[in-house]
Amino acid sequence: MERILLEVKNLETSFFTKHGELKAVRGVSFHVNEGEVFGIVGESGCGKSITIKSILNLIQEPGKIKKGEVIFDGVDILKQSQKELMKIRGNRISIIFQDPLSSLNPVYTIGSKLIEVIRRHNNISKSNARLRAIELLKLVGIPLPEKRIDSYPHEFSGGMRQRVMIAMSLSCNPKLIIADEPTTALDVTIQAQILKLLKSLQENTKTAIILITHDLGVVAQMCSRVAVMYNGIIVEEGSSEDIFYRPQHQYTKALINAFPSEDNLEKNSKLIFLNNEGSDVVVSDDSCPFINKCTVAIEICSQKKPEFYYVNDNHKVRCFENKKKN
Amino acid sequence: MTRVIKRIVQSIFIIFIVSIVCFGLTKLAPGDPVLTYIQPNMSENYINQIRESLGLNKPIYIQYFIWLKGILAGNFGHSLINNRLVLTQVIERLPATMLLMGTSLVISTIIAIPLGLLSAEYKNKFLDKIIGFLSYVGISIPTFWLAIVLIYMFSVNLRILPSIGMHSVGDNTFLDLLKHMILPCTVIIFSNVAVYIRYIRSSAITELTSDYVMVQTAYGASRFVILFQHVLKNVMLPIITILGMSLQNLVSGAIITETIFGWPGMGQLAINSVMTFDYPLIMAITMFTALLIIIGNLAADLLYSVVDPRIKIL
Amino acid sequence: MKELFLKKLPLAFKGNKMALGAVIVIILLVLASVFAFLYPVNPNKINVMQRLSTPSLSHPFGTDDMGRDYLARSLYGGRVSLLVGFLAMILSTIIGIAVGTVSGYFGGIIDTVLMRIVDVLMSLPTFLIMVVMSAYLKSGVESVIIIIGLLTWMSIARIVRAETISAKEREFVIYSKVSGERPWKIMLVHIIPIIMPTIIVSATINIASAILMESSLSFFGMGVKPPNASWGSMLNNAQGYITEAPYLAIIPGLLIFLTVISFNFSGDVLRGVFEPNTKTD
Repeated sequence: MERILLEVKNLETSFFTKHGELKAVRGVSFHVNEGEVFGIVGESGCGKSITIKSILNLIQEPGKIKKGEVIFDGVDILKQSQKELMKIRGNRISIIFQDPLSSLNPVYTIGSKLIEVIRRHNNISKSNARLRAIELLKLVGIPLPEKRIDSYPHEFSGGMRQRVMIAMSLSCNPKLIIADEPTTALDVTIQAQILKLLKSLQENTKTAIILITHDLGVVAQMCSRVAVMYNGIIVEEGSSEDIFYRPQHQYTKALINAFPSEDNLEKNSKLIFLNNEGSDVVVSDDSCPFINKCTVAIEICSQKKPEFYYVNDNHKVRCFENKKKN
Repeated sequence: MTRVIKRIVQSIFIIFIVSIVCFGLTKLAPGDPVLTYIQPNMSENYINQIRESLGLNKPIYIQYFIWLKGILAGNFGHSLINNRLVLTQVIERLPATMLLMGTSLVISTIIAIPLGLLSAEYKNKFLDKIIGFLSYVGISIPTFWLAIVLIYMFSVNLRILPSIGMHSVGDNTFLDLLKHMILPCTVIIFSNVAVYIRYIRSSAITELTSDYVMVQTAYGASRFVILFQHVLKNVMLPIITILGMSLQNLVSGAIITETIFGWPGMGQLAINSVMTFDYPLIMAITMFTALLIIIGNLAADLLYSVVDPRIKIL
Repeated sequence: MKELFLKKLPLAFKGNKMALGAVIVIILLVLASVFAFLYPVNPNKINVMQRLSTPSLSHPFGTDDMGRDYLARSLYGGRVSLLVGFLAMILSTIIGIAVGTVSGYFGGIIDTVLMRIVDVLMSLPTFLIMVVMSAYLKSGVESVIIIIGLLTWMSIARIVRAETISAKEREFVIYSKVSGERPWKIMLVHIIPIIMPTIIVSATINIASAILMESSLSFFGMGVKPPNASWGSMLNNAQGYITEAPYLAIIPGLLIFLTVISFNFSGDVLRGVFEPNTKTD
């Protein structure tokens, strides 16, 4: 029986601008078990990034976390004081962001930043911290770490920079790493390397990972469980197998079909494009969010927001059509 | 390295042109330089001889080169008024101005940095609005008016601070000097801080929206560390620009303040020399100030690479 | 461009009460100086019997050391100060735009030469040179305008040049070039409208500094000469009477201050409207 490490309950985050309230996250709940790789998939703008930023309470004006609980190791992060938060961030939960160039302060060497983070959460001397930093750089595959530790961010290539970020995220032995589209900004070949690195590190350290991506291929490679997000809520959640081989929600199906694979390249002679003119963030709470694009919508879909219906113990989907089926 | 050399050569070129401009200005000035040497009963012949000895009959470019040669040797000529060496007068007055401006500059920077950073941090909140308003006041208020108002308040009414000069008669103590410095420095500091804050604030605001700030926060850095360590280092660039621009103020920025407060420095010397049409002196001060401006810009430019490793110069 | 003026501008000013206040102040001051002649008192009328009287009903701003009504002098003085500021700004802006667009558009050696000239001029101590030049030229309003105009165009030129360089890469400019339109026409018809917002912002700030400079020069006795007054020269006069009649100094300074701060403030609001990508809001 796996232990639950992180539990997110009914998270709601909105942005209050002069155009009104933009609801980015509209009631998201999921959990992550210790040591597993949990994927969150969805298109740009569906609210994945906002969700994970909310987990660490990193949302700033004009955004605000309206409701919800984020229980990590028994404690609700959202209720913690700044001081407590600082102890968690980078220490027990760390984040890897999408763009490694802008993630690092250009006027400092990567070494100084690594050492700073290490010393912030551990009471060790500067020289010991430096040794640890070099170790970490070696671990993530940076050649000549003793020399490169004194280099500046712009002196690294994109892939190398992301490795540095991974090193930083591991530096304090966190229980959970959140990776927000870590490979999207990289070349395809480098992508593969980084993913391989992440996977091997994860297997060695047994850290749990939440992996955000819009790329199903990445999900297939890395994740044991997946949640599919659309327009601020999770529409389907289950194990990788469930999602890939037995997708229930229309959106999930569309995603999988739009993804070029051996199967559908043979069967369908053209790629199916998801009809997406941009996310509809101003959607009401009284209907299914996917209603405008759903091909099997029935009457009730426009009247109520669907609840989760369980296909099996681990596989659930938000759809009235599925309820009908079962 | 080549970039450094290129910049220096550029600067020398500019100094050269500036010297021509300065020379040209004095030549264009109304009035005949011979007039100061003329006595009532001199014959036409004698006057011409004087003119000849002053080199005024030579073609203009020859005059320029003579002048330039003199400058490079440190000979700025004699003041038309009191016949003392211009260079001596300038050097005499320099310390007073540098004391006033140097102190003001340092204090201005020390005050402006935290105010600017905090302004950015609490953008659009109450603190920012107050600081912002004060900075508007600072850049819009005529310095001479501020000086007069301060003199009125503190010297005339309250009688606690002196309004004129550097020292009270017969009193050479440090405390007395400080008292005399308070009002003029306040005027200068108020205007300077207002300008600095605007640059620092806008620069800091841009930095605060950077991704690395988010990342640092995600790794547990406190707001204080982010502001005063990360953001500050990135904001150093505009600060250096400003300081570079302010170098010339060390000499000429105090013209108005020094005149009103009777502070015996370069600014006052400059005004006096213009009022009395003392051309050699005017030229020397102008050249000197221009030189400082150019050096200031050059130094700022070169300092960038020290602060921001992305700029590869040295 | 039109949408900017019709929609965004009024919105920006409506939301920002201080900006509205600033604009009102400017309008009032301009109106006051234009219609100064409606005020029935002669600003130059000397009345030694009533010298240095404090503000009262008959003399709302008091009288100066020669018994002249201070309110009248302030109104006419305002006219001078505002006029000088405005005209100096126009001169400065025209030179700046001309140099900037030519430099940015043609590039190459023209650009290098023009920018070197800008460098040289910016290396001169501005205020000092102004003082020197105003001592040389015959004093008066025209000289001041020319001096200020000739020494403050450089920063506008630099900004305009930068904007021109980016503007000339826009498609429709390239189209015009390719279809053989003459450079002058391209610059006037296409480029300048694009960079107009930036120019407007710079111009507003320019007026503010021009007014400050004029008042500083006049304060030193250069520039406007008696019996005419500008706010600056009124302050010069007032210095000697600071103990007896402080209002002589306070009033003109306050007027200068209000005018300058209003222009500065408006300039910043305009910048916020025209350059929404600067995140300083």
